[in-house]
Amino acid sequence: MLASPWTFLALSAGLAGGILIGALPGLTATMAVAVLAPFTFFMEAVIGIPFLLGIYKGAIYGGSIPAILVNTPGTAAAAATARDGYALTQQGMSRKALELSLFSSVVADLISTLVLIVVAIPLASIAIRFGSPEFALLYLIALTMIATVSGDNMAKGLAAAGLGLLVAVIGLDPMSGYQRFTFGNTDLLAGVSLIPLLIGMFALSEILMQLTHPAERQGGAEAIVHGGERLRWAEFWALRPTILRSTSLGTFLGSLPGLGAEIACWIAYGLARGRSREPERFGKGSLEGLAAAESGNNAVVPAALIPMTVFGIPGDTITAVLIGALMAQGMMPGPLLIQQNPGFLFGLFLVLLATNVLLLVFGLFAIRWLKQVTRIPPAVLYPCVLLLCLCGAYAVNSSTFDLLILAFGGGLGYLMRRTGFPIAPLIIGLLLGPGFESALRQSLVFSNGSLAIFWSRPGSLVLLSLLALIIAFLAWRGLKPRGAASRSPWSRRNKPHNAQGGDS
Amino acid sequence: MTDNFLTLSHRTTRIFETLMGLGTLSVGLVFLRTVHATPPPYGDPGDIGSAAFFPGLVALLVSAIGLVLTLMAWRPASPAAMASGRTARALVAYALMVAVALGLPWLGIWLTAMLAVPLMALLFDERRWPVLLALAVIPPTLVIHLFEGVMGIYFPRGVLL
Repeated sequence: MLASPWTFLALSAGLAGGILIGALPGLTATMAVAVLAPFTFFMEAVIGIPFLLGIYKGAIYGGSIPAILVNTPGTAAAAATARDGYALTQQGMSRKALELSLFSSVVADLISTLVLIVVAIPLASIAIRFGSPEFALLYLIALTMIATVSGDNMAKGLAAAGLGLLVAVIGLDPMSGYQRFTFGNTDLLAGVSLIPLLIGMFALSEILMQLTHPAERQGGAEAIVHGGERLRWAEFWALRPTILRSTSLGTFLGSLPGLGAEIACWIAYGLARGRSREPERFGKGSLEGLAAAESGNNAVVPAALIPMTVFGIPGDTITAVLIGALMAQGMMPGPLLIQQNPGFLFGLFLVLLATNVLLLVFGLFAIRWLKQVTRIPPAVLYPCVLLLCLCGAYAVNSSTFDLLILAFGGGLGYLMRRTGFPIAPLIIGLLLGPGFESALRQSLVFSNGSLAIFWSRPGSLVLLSLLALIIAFLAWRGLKPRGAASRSPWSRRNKPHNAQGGDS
Repeated sequence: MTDNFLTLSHRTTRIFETLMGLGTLSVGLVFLRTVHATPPPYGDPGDIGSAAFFPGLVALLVSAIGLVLTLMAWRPASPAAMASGRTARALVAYALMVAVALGLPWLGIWLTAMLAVPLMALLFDERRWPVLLALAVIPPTLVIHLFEGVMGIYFPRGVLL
């Protein structure tokens, strides 16, 4: 895959574009991948998917640049970075902060990619033996986790996941071919178009949120004294326990469905503060704090690809969009991807490794030049985003009906964000719906309606026990006093207003 | 302090939470009603082999969660207050988005884009005419040529042009 100059070019363009988009406050990584996904439908998969991966990685890293320079996180994943990054900038050490952010990101990304490569194949060889009951339980575990961890209110998360499953049943029944809930509309035969809905829910709703709560720029770029001393090797080397610990944590959290980079950064930050010899320096320009936040959020990116490649389950909203893009290319993520397209998957692993090297190179350029980007006014930025949304949604099927889905998605996304409903469970419910329905019905048909099929096989018994443990843990967490949760270092009160669970 | 830090009153928040709960309940009930209509359009919802089984099951769960959300809005402990903001302006922008989605087949991509982009900029408080004019011309020209010239996607020209 990497031998093709077009793949390399697409990856580089995606990475550069991702860093640029990530550096623009208000444009999230999810939004960037959703809006640019339609471009890849006209490319081969070996070009289009690396392009999207480049955007994903670039945007997560790029969000740290305005966080450090102007105290405005480019993405929700960089919210923790702003605390110590901006404090360092105020002390005239922006160059050191930016370099530390870049090097921590690259190291974390590299380690997490290696974990993905080592873990994906053995896990997939187990997943390939799964039958319908195991997959039904796996989907249920994923939906339960996503619904309950991606918002403050568990009931709202479950409602969103349920609504996603209901939207997924619109169209042809996967088993009998019956038309359901189409009401004679042929545009709905193939179901609700995923990409226009995603663009609407993430990008249009973001524009509406920006209008509702205009971002308060905390200090202009012109007020910054950019530069200062460079990061010394000894300083970076001394941070290796923090970086390794945060990377391990980010990799673990990223591999769980529903926990995105925007949560990992806070947990890694809190853990680093708890283990630090100088916790009082956190928030006042601690190199440890900055390294922990950046390695924590960047380690999530490759790790989120583990459930996607192994089980076909999105780790977060960005991988949900990636799954949509893969499906549009005629590929089905999951164990079959490894069986049917091993060359593509191994190529993807190589692309991920190559992205690390490119991220280092592009990041060094970005540190030098990208501070100008933060000056683009919202009045210029968001109208252009609207135009891209419009054209991108239409381009998927050349259908004007998709524009209505886009508008519907925008309204629904805005309503959900204003009222505290997480978007991620709805999108992931919509994606997992057809697979979950097929697996559940096939299992029950095989067992003549007996639920015993879900505990009579060793694999399903293990997964059922895991589901029971998760539900027990969530029930225990729900019974804990509220104060305990709010003292958590990754309290969602610290997140920007426009960040939602799973939306990086 | 800007308005994005202001919050709605607990009473208003409670009303919104109730409406969202009732909305979720209504969606569940609509799906449930459709599945259980007579004659059942997609087969017997109680039959695991029928196309109605899964939607019926999910609709039942969504209705139950909707009911829980509605009841939770009226707990003695007040729900967390919602942030207020420039909602009216966002609704105007949403009306513009819907108008664009509905009007594109009739007005065509050029007219739609050349109107929508500066109008959106106006909503973001851009009042300088040269900037609005530049926004009406440059982004539509670049984006439409990118899609049509590079990707081969042709947009509706509308009935007016």
